[in-house]
Amino acid sequence: MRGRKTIMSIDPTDAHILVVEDNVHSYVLIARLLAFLGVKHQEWKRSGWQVLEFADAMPHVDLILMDIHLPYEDGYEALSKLRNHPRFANTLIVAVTAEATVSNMKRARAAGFNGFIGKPIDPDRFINQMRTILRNQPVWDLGILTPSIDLS
Amino acid sequence: MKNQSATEQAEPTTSVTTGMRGGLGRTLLAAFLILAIVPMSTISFIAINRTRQNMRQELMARLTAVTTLKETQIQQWITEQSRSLAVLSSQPDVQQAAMTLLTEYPASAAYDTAYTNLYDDLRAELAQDASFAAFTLLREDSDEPLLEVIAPHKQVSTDTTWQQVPLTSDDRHISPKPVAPTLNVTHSIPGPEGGSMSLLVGCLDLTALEQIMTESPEMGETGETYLVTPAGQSIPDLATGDDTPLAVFLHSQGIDAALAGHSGNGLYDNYAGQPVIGAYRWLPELQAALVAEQAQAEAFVAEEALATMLVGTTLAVALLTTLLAAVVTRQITQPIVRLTMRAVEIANGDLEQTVLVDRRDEIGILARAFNIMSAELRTLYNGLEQKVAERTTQLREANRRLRYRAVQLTVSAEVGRVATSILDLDILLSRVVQVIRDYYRFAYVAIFLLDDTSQWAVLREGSGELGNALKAKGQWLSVGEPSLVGQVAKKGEPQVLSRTDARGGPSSPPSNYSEVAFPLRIGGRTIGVLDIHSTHADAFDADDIRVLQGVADQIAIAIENARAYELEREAARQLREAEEMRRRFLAHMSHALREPLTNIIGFSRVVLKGIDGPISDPQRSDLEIVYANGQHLLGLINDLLDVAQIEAGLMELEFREVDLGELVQSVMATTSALVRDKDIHLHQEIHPELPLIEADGARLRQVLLKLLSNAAKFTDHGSITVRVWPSGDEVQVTVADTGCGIPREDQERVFERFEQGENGVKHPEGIGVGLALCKDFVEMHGGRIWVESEEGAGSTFHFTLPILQKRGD
Repeated sequence: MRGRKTIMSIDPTDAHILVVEDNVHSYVLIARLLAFLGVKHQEWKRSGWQVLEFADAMPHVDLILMDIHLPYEDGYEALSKLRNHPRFANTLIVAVTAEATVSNMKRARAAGFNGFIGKPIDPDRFINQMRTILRNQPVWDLGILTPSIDLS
Repeated sequence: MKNQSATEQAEPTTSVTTGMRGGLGRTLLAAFLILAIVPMSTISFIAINRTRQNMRQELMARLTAVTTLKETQIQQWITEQSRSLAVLSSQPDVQQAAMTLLTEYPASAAYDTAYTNLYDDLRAELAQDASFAAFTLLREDSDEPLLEVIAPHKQVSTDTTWQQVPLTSDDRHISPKPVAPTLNVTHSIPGPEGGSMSLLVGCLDLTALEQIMTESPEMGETGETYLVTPAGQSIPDLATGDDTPLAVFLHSQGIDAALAGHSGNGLYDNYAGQPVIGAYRWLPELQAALVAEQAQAEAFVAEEALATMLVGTTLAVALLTTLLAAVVTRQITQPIVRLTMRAVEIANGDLEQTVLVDRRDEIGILARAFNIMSAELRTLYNGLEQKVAERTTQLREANRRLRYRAVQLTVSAEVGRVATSILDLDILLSRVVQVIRDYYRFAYVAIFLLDDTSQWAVLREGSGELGNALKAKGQWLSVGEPSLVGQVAKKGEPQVLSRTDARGGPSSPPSNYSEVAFPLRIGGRTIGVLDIHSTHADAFDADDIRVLQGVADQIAIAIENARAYELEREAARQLREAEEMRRRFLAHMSHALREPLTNIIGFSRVVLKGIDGPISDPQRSDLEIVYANGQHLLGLINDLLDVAQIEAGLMELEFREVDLGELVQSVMATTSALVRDKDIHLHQEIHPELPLIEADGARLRQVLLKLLSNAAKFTDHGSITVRVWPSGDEVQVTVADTGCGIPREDQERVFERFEQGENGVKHPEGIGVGLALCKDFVEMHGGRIWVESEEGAGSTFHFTLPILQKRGD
């Protein structure tokens, strides 16, 4: 994170993004929003299994959006493997999780994530969050706990 | 021999022996001698002194008597001579001649005739009476002699100075003439009428006086009496020999005292320097000292003889006493010394000692007592070894019993410890069996437990290889069968079996062995059997059985405890599992319920945003309904999940420093969307010096959002005001609206779960958990929440939050 200050901000159209997400609909939502943002290069990994190998097979990786709750290996294990690889030691990896609590956010920060976005994904805010991250500015957002709101 | 050995031994012993031997005899002897000699010597000394004193007094008295006698004799003699002179001077012839000589001139014939006649007469008288040495006729008033006649062959000093002598008729003193003392007697002769008279002086021949003085037969050989004139001349003349009389002046203590006018007696050295005993007196008439003396040597002969005799007697008696004392002492001490030597030898370890004393006195008794004692000692000593052996055996037995008791105690303690420290039944029983077998060194120890039907006693644990083998095989003994275990399991009483042959027993027990079985009882119910085998016959006495039954009771309790613990642990495990299940269920629900909803909301939003392409207005309108309902449903689900979490006790707040002002502003910004279509003004009044508080920001956001959305829900026009200010160690927040208000009777119930005001009928969207959740969250912060409301005039919700959280742990 500290070293990344020297990294130039990335234009969404040039960005290569890996989304690790087991829920198809969630992924589709993210994919739609990323496409809306103009991202052309994005890959999808459905489990925590062999995330490193998958990422390493990609020619270029600017950002990894990582779900925490994953089959086989959870997000922390995947992150640990990635961080231990020289190629991904400084890559932007942001946790995207429904387990949005302060303690989980702390844990994610300590584990080496570069940001935290709580689910449910708010389409209005997500686009701005992605832009911020690609400008190489950190995002630590638990998301909005939506109360029951009068709809009338 | 014995003595020598004693000498060779330690020095103290030796010194004791010799010390006792010499000491007693010497002490006795010395006592005897002192007793005998001291009084005798004292008596002798006193006697000698007394005798000597008496004898001296006697001697003195005698000497004094002598002086008295001599004085009388001298007086008599002088009186005689004086009388003869008186007779002479009274003769008419003499008187006539003296008259003539006085009256006539010396050259006249009458004078001559008278002179011649008188001279002849006096000459004749001198020849006749040897007492006189010379006659002198003197004029009364002149010192010129008228006539002088001196006896032939007699030495008389002629140069008499008559003035020196008072010429009275009675004067008889000895004239201290320079050459030799003279003694004159004088008688007056009457002269003519009215004329002076003449004096006839007779110079006495002192030979007679000397004779008187030397005649003292009772004075012994050395005794002498003499007169001394103040000029130091003596009568008789004691100044012997060649010295000229003038040079001699006699001196001695007696002489000087007498010349000084004293009378007395005493022991002193005489004129010749010889020690004498003497008596002396002053004779005033004679003007001379009379001294009677005897040499002490002679005078004290008798006294010395007596003293010698007395001393001799004393010495003789002392010698005799010494001899006698030596004999007696020897008689007394010798048996004692012998006894002492024997005693010392006994003390040195030689018990074969007797003393031969054939006496009937106390020493004899002592000796016999000594012999009896030494005999007793011998007997005792001989018996001692046997007694020591017996006592050693007893001690060993007592020791064994103590050790055994220690084993019993140790086992009890160890079993107790195991019973309380090990809760796993298998380990517990295995340890117990091992402890009992190891400490007591029993051959085999086993524990049987009854099965659920109480029909079978099942081997649960056995010691050693045998135990393991039987356990692996499975040993089931029918309750009530003839074996000891079967019997005890049925009757519930301990039983002992001893000296059996190789008949019963676990596998192939030795022919000589004992077995005891104890019931394991809990409150009168037998739950098993403790079975113990020993390779000794009669290995179990009553004491063992009592102690081991105690151990068995401990085991029974431990088994019961272990079983209870097992049940409890199982219950606890189930409880934990149930809780875990609940937690997993909630987590799953949270995920499973929200995931599809977020997709509904998310995709409807994507379509609404035109990401998927343009949509028609009716489509947009419908999709907005989908979107809004999705949001509402998500809110409800979140509330429900929170409630569920709180009820399950799984809700935990995450306290951090929170800027409440900032939080209020952020929530107000969100709320503005809620009142967009209403005539409502939003106000916020945040105290400028609001401190940071320790709180869970997410939960506070929820509370504020809930209160604000509630206010927005029940207010159609007017204002909603949020105020925040510090109050002591708390921060107070109010959310005030100008809505319909809450009826008084409902005000207390609005915070209850699944409750909603009467107005809820009008607004059926809520399920009434919102305010209850607010209350839960505020109270979890340690704050309070309440409402003030007037129907139709709006409501004000208050809550407080402590600035600092209490740190309970």
